[in-house]
Amino acid sequence: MRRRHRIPVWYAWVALSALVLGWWLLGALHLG
Amino acid sequence: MPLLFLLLFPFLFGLAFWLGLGLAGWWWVRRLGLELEWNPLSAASRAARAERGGRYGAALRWYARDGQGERRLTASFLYGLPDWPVRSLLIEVGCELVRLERGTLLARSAGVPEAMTRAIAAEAERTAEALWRSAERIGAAAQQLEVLRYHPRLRHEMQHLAEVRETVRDLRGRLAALTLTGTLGSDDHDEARYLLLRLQALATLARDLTEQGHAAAA
Repeated sequence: MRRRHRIPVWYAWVALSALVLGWWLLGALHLG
Repeated sequence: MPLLFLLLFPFLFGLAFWLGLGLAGWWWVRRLGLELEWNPLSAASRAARAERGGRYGAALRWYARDGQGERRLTASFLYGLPDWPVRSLLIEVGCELVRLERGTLLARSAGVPEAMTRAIAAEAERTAEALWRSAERIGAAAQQLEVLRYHPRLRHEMQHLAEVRETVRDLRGRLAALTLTGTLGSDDHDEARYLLLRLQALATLARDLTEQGHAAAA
């Protein structure tokens, strides 16, 4: 049986969250 | 006033433009046969993962927990199977199984004994295994040869599937009646016994469906 391809849009959520968190952490730890 | 118009017009135009672009993108993605997975923890995603992994009982469980389980199952079968009469039958049986599984959840929350709902759910999942294996076989065979549509075995399989559909429908109706009457009284014991008989009939049918597959493969 053929299956439809699934595009994991949630990867974008995870990547964006990691970016924002990393940015905030850089600022919080005065590393930037 | 003209200033307001001048500001409002580009704003509305932009809104309509982006909305149209989004809709066109959505339509295009669906036309390509792609599915967007927004949340990996949702019942729909879990169902799709289980289905791809060949864990069809788990797939049925998650489809039943998803509010749009029937629609998703239908879309999956419509895409995966050729436009043969057996396809609509497979879809009907699948949707009935999803409703039966959901019925066991509802019945359990309404006070029907857990042993009974669990037995029905387990049987529904076993039947789902047989159903999906049948769908996989038909889908894989159809990709190889179009004239298989007129194969006599397919007619046998359709008769079997029709019987399974009727049994599952009957079982669903009985379960709903049992849920309505609530706890088991003296009258309901007959009902429960009949329900178990139908369950055994379903088990036999599912086994036949599986054995038929083995016979076809041999």
